[in-house]
Amino acid sequence: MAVMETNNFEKNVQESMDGFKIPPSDSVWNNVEKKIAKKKKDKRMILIFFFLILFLLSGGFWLFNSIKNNTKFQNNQLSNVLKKESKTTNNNDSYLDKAIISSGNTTQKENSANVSKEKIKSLSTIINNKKGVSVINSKLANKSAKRAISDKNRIVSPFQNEILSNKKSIENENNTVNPNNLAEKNSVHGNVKEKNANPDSGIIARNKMNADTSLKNKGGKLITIENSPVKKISNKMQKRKWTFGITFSGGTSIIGEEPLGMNNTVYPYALSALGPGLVNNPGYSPSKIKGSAAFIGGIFIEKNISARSKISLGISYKYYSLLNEVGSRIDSNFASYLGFYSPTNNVKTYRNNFHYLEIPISIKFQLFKSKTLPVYWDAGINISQLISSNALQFTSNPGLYYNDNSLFNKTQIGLQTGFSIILFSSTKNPVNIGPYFIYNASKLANEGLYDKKHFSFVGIRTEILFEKK
Amino acid sequence: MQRNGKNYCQHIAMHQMDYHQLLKDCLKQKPESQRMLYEHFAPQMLGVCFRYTKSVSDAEEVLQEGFVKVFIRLKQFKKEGELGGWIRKIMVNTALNYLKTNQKYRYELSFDEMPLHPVSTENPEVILQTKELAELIRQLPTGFQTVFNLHAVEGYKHVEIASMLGISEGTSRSQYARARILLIEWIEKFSIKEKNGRYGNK
Repeated sequence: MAVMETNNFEKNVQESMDGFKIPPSDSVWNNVEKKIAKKKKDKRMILIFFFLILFLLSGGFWLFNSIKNNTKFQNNQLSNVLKKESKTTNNNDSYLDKAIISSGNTTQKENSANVSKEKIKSLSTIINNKKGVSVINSKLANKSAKRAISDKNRIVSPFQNEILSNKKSIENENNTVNPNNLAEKNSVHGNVKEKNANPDSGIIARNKMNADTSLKNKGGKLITIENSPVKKISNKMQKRKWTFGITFSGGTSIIGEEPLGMNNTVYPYALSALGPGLVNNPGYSPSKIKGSAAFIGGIFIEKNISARSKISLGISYKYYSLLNEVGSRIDSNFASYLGFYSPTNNVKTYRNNFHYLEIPISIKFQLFKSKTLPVYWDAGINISQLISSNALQFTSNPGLYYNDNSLFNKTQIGLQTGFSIILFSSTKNPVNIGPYFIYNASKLANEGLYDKKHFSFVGIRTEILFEKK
Repeated sequence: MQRNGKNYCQHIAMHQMDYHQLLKDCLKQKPESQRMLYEHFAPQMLGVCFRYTKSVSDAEEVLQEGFVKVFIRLKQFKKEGELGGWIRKIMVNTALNYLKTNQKYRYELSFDEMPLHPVSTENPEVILQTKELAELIRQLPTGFQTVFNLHAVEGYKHVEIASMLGISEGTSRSQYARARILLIEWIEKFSIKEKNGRYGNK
């Protein structure tokens, strides 16, 4: 009980209200619990999303750098070995000359063979290790090959007849002489020695030649300078590298309960919304929502996973917009704060903007083998997060549009597909262009004006690649 | 004049609740602690929400929304302050937002400029139950009800109310004066009725 006097009116009211308690129903706590769990889940999703972006970006950066560094390292290593090799070759030449002069010194002959063997081994190891990763410095290889040829000429001249006669057999030996076969060969040539007046030098010379030949052959057929197989290897290796690119797609966004805007029914319960006691009043219904301009812009990296397929992943900003008819803004203290729009007065078009951050991942398949105009088909999946929106919701009684982004499903999973042709494929910056389609498999909202609706996108996509050649 | 929620902490002490431990556990998002905190404050807070709305179900909706905010923003609560007062502030703000966004209240919540009315100097002696007083406050038009609650019960100054509701200080004052007169009038009528009823019963 409270005795209230006007003078102490506020004090009395306050005191009276202090002890005012009403026990809430059980459903309140259940709902609170559910909402907390949902918020926790949303928070976790956002965190996962951002960590995923961070991980992809850092992973991409690391991969890009490591490939770059690896290539540099391998090139350095190769050039060092080739330099060393050319030195050894020169030394061996002098040794070889001596061997030719002294003729018939078996130990020297074996040494020479061993040197060649090691030489081949070391080079072939390096070159083999480089498979799929590095680009061989063709200049160095050419230089070395030229030197080898000059060496060959120099060595061959005294025994031209014998070597020329053996040349064919050397060439027939697959152009690649296995270093392990050298010993065998030596023994074969050892037999020749008995028949030949000056066999040792010839064998040594031939072995050397074999060694040089195999050296070049083993590592990528370096000896065939004109055909430049080194270039072939380097091309192959380059195809396996991650390539960076930018992408832009322009088109239109479409909304509907099914893909391509099919079944775009108007807000179902707006039509049946009756005000309390207003049985004959059907309430207001919202205007139809139409698709409008949309674009996607971002960066991506792609890599060949086989001769005719690539994997691509990236990060993009995605903008969708939808149009509907709304009335004028209601200007009252509260309404202006919340952005209410009457649907009947001064009807005008309102643009509902949706801003997303998206991570797409897709696989591209080359459809035809055309080198001049390759055609690719790609398909993939994307995850996008709604960053902001000014989209309006609708209430049928009293019939108003208002903002409430809490009704949207913020995280969307989408499927994408498209075709593209590659223009300027032989340049450093090939351009992929073609039609592109996205369908958001997730519902835009589970209630409100966008209840059960899905976004689709149809447009033209352009991708510019930045290849390192 | 603004309330600080001291009473609520005293309640906690009375119930021998380890206030700090409970807070820590709630911050760790332990469901049982959250439930304890809710159960302790919910009846009082529903009383607050009840005064701002027109029905218990609306008040429960506000309470529910308010408690979700409480648990999400709990780490923002400074331990040297009073938890009850902090929760109450959240409830009041949630109730105001609810009034602004809910279509049932939106149109009733008008704050048309009115000339200032002198504060009633009548001195009626009224005897009233808490629940009855709360019911009478709820009978006021939404605009009056809101300003009255904020000023007379929560203790906010008219400047603060003006900024909270996006109205001028003068409007807040005039709304309050009108609300006060109406309420006193009703209290008088109500207590006379009660008195007559009691005599009748005798």
